[in-house]
Amino acid sequence: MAQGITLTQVLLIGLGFYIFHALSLGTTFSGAFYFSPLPMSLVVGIILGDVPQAMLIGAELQLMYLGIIAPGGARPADPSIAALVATSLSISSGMSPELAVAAAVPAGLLGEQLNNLTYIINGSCIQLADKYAEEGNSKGIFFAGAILPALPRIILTIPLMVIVYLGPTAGSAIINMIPNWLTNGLAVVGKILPALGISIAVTSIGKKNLLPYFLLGFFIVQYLSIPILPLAIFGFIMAYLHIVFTNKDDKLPSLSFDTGEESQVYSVLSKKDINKAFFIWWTFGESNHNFERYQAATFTMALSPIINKLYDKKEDRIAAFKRHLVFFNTEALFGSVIPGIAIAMEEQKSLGADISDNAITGVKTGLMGPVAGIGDTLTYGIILPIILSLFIPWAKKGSWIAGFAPPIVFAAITIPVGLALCRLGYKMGSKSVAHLLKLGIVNKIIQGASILGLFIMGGLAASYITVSTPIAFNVASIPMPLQETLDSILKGILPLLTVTGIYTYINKFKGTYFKATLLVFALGLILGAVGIIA
Amino acid sequence: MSKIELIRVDFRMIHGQVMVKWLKATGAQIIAAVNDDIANDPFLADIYGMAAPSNVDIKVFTKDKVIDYFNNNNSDNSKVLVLFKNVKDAHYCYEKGFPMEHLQIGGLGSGPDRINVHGPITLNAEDAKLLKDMNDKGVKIEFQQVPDDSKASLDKILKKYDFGLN
Repeated sequence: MAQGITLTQVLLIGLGFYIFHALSLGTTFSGAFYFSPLPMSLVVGIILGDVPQAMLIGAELQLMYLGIIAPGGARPADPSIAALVATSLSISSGMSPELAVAAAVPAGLLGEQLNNLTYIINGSCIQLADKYAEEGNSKGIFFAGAILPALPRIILTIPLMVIVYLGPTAGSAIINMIPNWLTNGLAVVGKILPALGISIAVTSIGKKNLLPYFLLGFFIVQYLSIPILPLAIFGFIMAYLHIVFTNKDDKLPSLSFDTGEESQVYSVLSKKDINKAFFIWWTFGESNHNFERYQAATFTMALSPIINKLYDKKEDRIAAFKRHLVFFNTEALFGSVIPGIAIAMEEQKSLGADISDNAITGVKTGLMGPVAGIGDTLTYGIILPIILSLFIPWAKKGSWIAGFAPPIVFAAITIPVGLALCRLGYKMGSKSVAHLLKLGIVNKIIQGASILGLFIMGGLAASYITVSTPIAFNVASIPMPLQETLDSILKGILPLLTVTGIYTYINKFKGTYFKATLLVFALGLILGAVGIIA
Repeated sequence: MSKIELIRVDFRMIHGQVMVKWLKATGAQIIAAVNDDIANDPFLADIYGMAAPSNVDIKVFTKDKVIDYFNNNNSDNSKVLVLFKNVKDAHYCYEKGFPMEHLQIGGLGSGPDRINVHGPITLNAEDAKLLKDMNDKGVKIEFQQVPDDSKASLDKILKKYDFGLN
């Protein structure tokens, strides 16, 4: 047998998964691994020496996981685990991509349960951080918040390595065992699954009154066969025009956050201190996620060099560490404004201003929710799916770029925004959030990005949902394929019906992700086995 | 009268799960956020009001005002999502006549006396007692984070975990 897998390859895959996904370092870098299967498919493809095949599988999975988001840490499935299982199974056993993708769906669902287990275990790290805070030991807090949480995450890695190791044997057994009708059925499931991902993405991106943009994207690609990237250019221009034409004010709000009004000047702290706090926040924003206090340890870690600088007395430092080790959970990118605000309040307090612990905690916990509402909507609900969509055509061609680029592009776009927000938070204090929201720019960006996103989703649906029917009628002994008749009525009517059907199921009948997945499997298997859909 | 689509207790009030998931699942046009501290803090009340997407209105109420609003406002028939910060506030409003048939528990925070009863959602004896009281009086109570997730009824949770209520 040409295929197979060596122990070294298994260990390397485990290591790659651990470093890039399990450790979750760099929120918007590892965020691409957290929400997309493409980067992990590339890692496995490189190790097993078949990048083109890996990226093809990544592309299939990417379409079905396109709209996945995780507000408050609640994510329905783990795309990276699915990618790891499907890619290694397919390359090491020669299993077809359709079958490998079908095998990966339960892996993705189970993988999320493993993640939740680490979030529970990590609760004990935060209790250790409490102990170090009591001693005023900021290095200890760093150990408890950044180093120690890496250990439970090994739990994630070991079962996956076992699965990967057994892959070739299990894979061949499955291939030999599986009857023909099931193969046909699973092939149809594979064709419908992208419609599930696109429906979920449309649900999380779109306001209902913007849905015509989805149809526009869909029919432009159906009738004119435009590739996704040029389509995105049209979409961008259209989104811009929509905003301009519906804008009630004379001029568009400025893209700059600058206000001219700065209540805080760098007095004790320097720009470097703020930058450092932001980069600690960005690097470890999700790395010690736990169900007890979520990002409390990271928040304290980000502020601890500043706390050490501001407060000379040990008891003041201890008090400061303790007041930040309380429940905190926000979307880490837009949430960067909040460490900035807290830093400004700490600086004022250290200079003698009468700011109570409650005032600082109140601002933090008061702002974290509204900011997360905006951040989850924009960063993960719209921007990341758009970035990923643009690389799907590369993945379909088997190119490594589709796995390599998303984490880099996502980080490159978001780091400057996060840094600017953190600085704004410091300069304006708690007024910064009101200022940002009053500018109206946030809602305009959300609306523009929604339009672009929906338009691209329409294009993706037209390009990659390929359900068709093999049914043919004999009219006067001449076979008349039903598909041709359907095409002459409305091109792409079956893909469109598929995606609207799933969208309706999710939105009107409140179908959960899990139930929708089961439904797609059931329908696909039946329709495929009977031969209505191919 | 306004149509209440969902009443949720969530200690984070407005955040991603509500804004991305429940807002879309319910189609609500108004979010009524009920909390005395936020309503009495002009700065935070302002932020909450502005954190809404363009087609949604976020109104912040004190406990007493929200009861008035839902019992006396007949002209408006928007769909509403009601958010309470804690079980105590929800119980208070229910006792004072706030119309409540269903109550969703989305998150109650953590603390030394709290245990996880449904994923990350916790419960303690005090909240369990208040919830059971409402449940006994006919409010249907379910624990659920996001629409994608499974839900669990209070009955099921009280059978599984002992809060010393029986």
